Amino acid sequence: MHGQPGAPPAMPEPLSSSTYLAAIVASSADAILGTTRDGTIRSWNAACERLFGRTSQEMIGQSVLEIVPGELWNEEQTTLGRAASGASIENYETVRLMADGRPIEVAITLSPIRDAFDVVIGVSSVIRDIGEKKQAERGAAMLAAIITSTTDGVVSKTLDGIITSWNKSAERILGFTEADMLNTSIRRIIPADRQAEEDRILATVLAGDIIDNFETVRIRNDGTLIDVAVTVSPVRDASGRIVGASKIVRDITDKRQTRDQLHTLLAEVNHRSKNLLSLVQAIARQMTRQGHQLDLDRFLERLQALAGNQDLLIQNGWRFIPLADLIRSQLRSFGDAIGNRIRIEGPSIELTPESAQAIGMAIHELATNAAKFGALANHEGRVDIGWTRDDLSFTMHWIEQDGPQVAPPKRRGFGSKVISDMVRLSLDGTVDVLFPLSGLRWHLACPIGRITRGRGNG
Amino acid sequence: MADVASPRILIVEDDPLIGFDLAVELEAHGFAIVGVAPTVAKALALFQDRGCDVAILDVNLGRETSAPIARTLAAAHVPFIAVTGYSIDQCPREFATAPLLSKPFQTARLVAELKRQMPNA
Repeated sequence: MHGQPGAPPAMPEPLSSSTYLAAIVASSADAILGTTRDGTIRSWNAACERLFGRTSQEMIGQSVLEIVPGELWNEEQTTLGRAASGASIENYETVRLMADGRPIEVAITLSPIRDAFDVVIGVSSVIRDIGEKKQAERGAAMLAAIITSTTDGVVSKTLDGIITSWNKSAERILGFTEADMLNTSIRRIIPADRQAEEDRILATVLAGDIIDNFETVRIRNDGTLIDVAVTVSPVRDASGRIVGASKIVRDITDKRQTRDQLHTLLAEVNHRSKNLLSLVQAIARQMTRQGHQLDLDRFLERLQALAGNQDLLIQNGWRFIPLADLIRSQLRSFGDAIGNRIRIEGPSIELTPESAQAIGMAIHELATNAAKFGALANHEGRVDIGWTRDDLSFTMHWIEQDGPQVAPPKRRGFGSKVISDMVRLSLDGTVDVLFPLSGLRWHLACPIGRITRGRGNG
Repeated sequence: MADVASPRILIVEDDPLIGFDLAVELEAHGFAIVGVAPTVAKALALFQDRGCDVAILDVNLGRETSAPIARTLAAAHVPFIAVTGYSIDQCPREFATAPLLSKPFQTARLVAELKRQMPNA
């Protein structure tokens, strides 16, 4: 084009529209590249150079597969083929390679390039780096997975106490579903007498502080109360402003029960130990009635007999003592004589702790007496211990034979009182103690219900 | 030993030797023992059959407490004394107003308390 004579002074030539468009592409913040229909790169803008770390001189004339990982070549060729046949593909998320071979996550929009006759002569790709966005998405997905799978209830709420999230474990612990609770007040799960707690919790959160493992009680959807520990933390927005609270709810029913059991156990220990002291006191008092001097050896033997009973009780969970075990335990010091000179025979029977103590003490006194004056004082004597039971009654005997000749004791000491009065009184039974020349005979009869909780209890 | 005019005492105690010892001690101090009951059922039966002037209740009877006996006695206006190894706050509320002797205790204290509780003391 040339200026005409007499024409107005020439204006600066306006940019042609194609040059104008080329300038836009070159300066775009998005990476834009153009290829032929078969994928040979024809243009590579500055943003492409920044994103991939490769210059346009390097890339123009190369196949676009240069920036595609090998395993995605098929996919790329298919996608390119679709664009080359006239389709637009928007924001397709895939992976590309940087100059050093590192992969980057990108979203690509592919468009066909048409000539004046509307024939597709190539394909343009607008490529955005979505690495950060993907990273953030993965982080959020990870957090969401943690919150979904944790065994703690995780709940979020606004500063007005309106629930904005409610995870599966919150549902399991409190029974309410997410649908039940979203957009309703957290106060629904707080018992009437604990509503003030929520005011205090919200005030603490507003002050930017955390409530750590606060043990309290909440209401389940079936109306029952549940022991929980709650940890509440402020939730801030990007600018640091407190916009709500997150709440972790932990079911501490087990912990509370363990604590209650421990408390009960300690009360029990208190009770039992004082009872034992009373028992020791009773033995000492009965042994020293009417001004008798305390026989310390006998006193200590009796304490050992009590201790033996306690071992058997512990072995059976403080519920019962099998009678045969009780007798064997009290006769332990006679060792080999058991089953030989000492015969023990009777049906299996589980004594209550109280009756086991009475019978155990009686056996101890009978054995001590036999060893001193009776059938176990020489080498020939024999002791027959037996018992019977039916639905109503229990009978038991201790019969000595072939020992030294015996006579009734001159004075009724502690041992005599234990085997007769104490047993009779505590088992509501009858006791006969006879002293024929052949040896001592002791008979007990009492209601079965007084000695066992088994069948036939009255 | 007890005579006709002796105050009649019901002992509720599950430990056989402690019950026996209490009975012997109180008889020696001039009381008449109605019986020694180791369970609630036995105690209520004894009370119904024979009655008593004052009862001594061991609070813990192994598998049960003597609270039902305390309620029956209170309803019948019969005074009772609680004896226990528990601390007072561990006892059932039926014993809140009863005199309480903590185990172990001396006979003299029990006798003094019994005399204080006697209806015509």
